[in-house]
Amino acid sequence: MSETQVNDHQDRLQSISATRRLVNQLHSRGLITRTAHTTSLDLLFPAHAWGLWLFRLLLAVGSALVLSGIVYFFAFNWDQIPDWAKLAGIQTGIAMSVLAATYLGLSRPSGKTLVLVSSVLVGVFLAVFGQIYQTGADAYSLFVSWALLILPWTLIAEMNALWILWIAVGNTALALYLDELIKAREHVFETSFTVAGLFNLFFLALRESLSKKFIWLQARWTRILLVFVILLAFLVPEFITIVEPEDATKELWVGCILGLLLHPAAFFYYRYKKQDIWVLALVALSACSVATMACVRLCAEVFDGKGAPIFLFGGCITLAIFTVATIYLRRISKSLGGKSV
Amino acid sequence: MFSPSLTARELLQHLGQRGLLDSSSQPAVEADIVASLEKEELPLYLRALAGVGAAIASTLFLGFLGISDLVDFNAKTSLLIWGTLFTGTALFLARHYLDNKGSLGETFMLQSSFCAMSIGKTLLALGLALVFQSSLAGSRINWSFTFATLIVASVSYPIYRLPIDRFLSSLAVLLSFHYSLVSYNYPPNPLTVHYPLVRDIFLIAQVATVFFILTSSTVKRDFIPIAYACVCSLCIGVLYSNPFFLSSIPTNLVTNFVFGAALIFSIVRAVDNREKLISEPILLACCASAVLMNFSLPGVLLCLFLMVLGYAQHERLLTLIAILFLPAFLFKFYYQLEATLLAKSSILILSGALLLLGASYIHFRKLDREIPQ
Repeated sequence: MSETQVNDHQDRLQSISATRRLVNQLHSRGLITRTAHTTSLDLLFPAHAWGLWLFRLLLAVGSALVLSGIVYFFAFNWDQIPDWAKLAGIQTGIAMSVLAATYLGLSRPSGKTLVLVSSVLVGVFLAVFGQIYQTGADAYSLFVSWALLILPWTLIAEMNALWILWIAVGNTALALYLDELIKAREHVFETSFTVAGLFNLFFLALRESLSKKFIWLQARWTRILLVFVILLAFLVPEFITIVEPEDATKELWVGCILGLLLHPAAFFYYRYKKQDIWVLALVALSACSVATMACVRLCAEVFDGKGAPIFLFGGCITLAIFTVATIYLRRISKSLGGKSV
Repeated sequence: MFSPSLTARELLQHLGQRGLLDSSSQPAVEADIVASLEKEELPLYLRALAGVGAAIASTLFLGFLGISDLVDFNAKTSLLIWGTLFTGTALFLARHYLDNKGSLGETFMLQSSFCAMSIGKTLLALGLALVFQSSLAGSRINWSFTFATLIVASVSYPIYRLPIDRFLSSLAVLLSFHYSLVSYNYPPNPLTVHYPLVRDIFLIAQVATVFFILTSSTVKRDFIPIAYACVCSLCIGVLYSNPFFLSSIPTNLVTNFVFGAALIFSIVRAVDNREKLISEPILLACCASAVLMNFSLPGVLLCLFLMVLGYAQHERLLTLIAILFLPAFLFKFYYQLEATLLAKSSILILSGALLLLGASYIHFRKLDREIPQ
């Protein structure tokens, strides 16, 4: 091999991740000894790595199951338990979780998990309180109260899962509030998706601006989840406006335009500033879906509603749009070379 | 964070430094690594994007075929002829463009190939279903369709090498079989008469397939789509099945036993060293899994099985599926009417408590220390 070929070869090896499958394949083909096989797996999976991973898995899944069980229990609304006992039980749970979290400290996963448990129990408490006292308050007020009460913990816990819970509670409050408004006023339905999109966009912007200062905010999954929710929220006014532009209200047009502007903005931000290929893929998927819908609508106009050519040209255009997106994204992926900020 | 991230080159360097890989065999090892991963697979997000595009395009083209009356969806001959044409076109395009290097034309042809194959297989499956229905007097269309999809998927699998197509075809067969098994069947056939037994065999076969394909070093990567199709089928099956109680205790016990056993096998498989296998933590993990399988829920056991297997085999997608599956299962479980919320809450709290006990054990035995940097 020439020197260039050797360097290319080494670069290729450097780009391939060592996995269990790779090691097992080498061993099964007799290319490495049993000792080398065991040593490789010990390097890939050190014993304490397993322990740490298992601890967090059992903590997360165990907590999720116990919390779900508690929610189910209070949803059962067992008549044999007096009301004071239900409220006292939940309050005791909250108090004990908070005390235990304080003792363990918020730097530890178990401490953070207990804060999350307390936050969920606050919601359970408010639901049971509302069940018992039948205050007649609107459904959204429960979630607003929940969000307000757990905000201090959310701010100090430095925990992504808790922030996502808080944002989910906020979204639920917003959805229920808008649902009430829809019954009372016109055109709220058309605005609701735009409002939801902007609500989550605010939190995404907050996350991006603060993530350099607060390392714990840099978990990628929160960014991907928020971008997904935002794009999904704006898809509704975009689709409705594209399909029925004559019947679309002003509110839908505003949502559609905002959504359309969001795509290039998100693309440039996550291409040149943050360099996140997964988010770019989401943006591309959303953009392609909108473009496809627009082109099919245009075909419907051009062919005067005749089904066969609409479907035929629609299919061809879809292929073309997604092909271009795939190629472009692939080139970006290669240029990024696995980097992400 | 959980384990060192090593490249193949770094791994070989480590082995060389410890004297476990001599310089004479290293070139062969390197060549094998490069050769086995020579074909550049598209990243998952690109495959998903291409897949969605092809799915939308296929639907539109099928609509075109239906509206234009080019294909008579009630005539088996028409379906078979057009299905063969589309499939042949797909194979032709794939042979020329499957190893695409990324140019616009090549990628467009590849996507067109996938689209044509989707349409071709759908038409062939429908055509064969009509053939089976007419030739096997009294058979219901759902079973005819199941056998048709099985034949089409089996024949195309070795020929058409696109992983997403293999995954979707395999999943279609599994879901079709599952649907045929649970939907109303009259007149009854041998499979539905012995429904509980067939269902259990189907369940065991899927779990065994997942385990075998993902853990065996002799199975080629070509079969990984089948494993993922089985995973998705298992998740959907657990989400939409009746998980318990009273009237179907035997059903629940078998499901729990299968998933629990799979979890134990995954734990054992992950431990490559026989001395470590009889260590206290591993034995306790296996015992806890055995206890869990007696009273917990199929969804919980399946989630744990997939997570452990995914971590052990470096299959992140498997772990992601498990993470997404658990909340979906808990949500669906809430609305199932076969048991009271009180009974459900007891099971969840007990299962969760056992897992938290396990976490406490790991912590107090100091097995969860961070890897020193």
